[in-house]
Amino acid sequence: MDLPPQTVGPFTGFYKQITHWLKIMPMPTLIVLSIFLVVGLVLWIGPSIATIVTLLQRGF
Amino acid sequence: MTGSFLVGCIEFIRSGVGLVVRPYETYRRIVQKGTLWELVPLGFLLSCYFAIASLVKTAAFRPFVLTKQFILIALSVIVTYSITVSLLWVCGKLVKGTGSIQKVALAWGYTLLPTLLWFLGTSLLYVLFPPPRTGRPLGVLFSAIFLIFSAVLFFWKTILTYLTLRFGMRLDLWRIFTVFGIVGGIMVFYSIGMYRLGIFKIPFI
Repeated sequence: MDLPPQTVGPFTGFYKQITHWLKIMPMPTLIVLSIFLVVGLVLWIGPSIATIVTLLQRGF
Repeated sequence: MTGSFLVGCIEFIRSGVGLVVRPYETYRRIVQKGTLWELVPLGFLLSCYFAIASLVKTAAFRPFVLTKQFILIALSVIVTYSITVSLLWVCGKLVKGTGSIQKVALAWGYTLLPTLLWFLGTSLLYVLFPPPRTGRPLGVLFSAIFLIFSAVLFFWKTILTYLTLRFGMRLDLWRIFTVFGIVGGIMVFYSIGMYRLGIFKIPFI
C-alpha cells in the first residue's frame, strides 16, 4: 500500500518515537498516560471530579 | 453467503484482538483485505448493547416501550455512523485523499469497538453503582478509575480514527488534522442536535 511519507518538520524524530510506542501494544502507554492525566485532574479540581463522573455516568 | 459470513466473523475476532495488540498492522490488513461482512458481528454486538441500554434507560419490562427505545437507539446509531463515514470520505476527498467509501466504512466500523465498550461499561456501572458520585474518598476513587477507563478508550478511539484516515483515505498527518477539525466541528453541532432531541446525552460516535 502506497502511503504519503509522514513528516512533521523538525519534530519528525520525536513523532516517529511516539508512533513506535503506539504501533505495537499501545495499551500500557495509554493506561500510564491516562493515570497521569486523571491524577493531575484530581490534584487540580479535587473531589469535583465526582461531578464530572456523575454527568458521564448519565450520558449513555 | 454463509461462507462469507463465517469468514467475516473469524476476521472480525482476529482484527478485534489485533486492534489491541498491533493496531497499525491490523488496520493496514483491514483496509487492504477486509470485507464489509466483518461489520455483521459488530452489528450483532451493537444490537446486544442497544437491548441492554433500552432496558437500563426504560427500567421496565414493557415490550412496546422497550422496542420503541431499541429502534430509536439503533436508528440513531445507524444515522450517526452513515453521516460520520460520509463526512470523513467527503472531507478526505476535499484534501485530495484517494480512498474509497467502502474502505472508510469498514475502517470506521472498527472504531466503534472502543465506543461500544465505553457505552456498555457505563450502562453496567450505572446499574451496579448508580450516580450521583460523592466527594468522599471511595467516591473519588471510583471517579478516578472511571475516568482512567474513559481516557484509555478515548485515546484508543483517537488512534483508530487516525488509522482510518491514514489507511482508508491515504492521508498524511496535516491533512488528517484538517479532516479531524472539519468533521469534529460538524459533529459538535450534530451532537447538540441529538442532545436536544433527547436521543443521546453523549453521542454514539
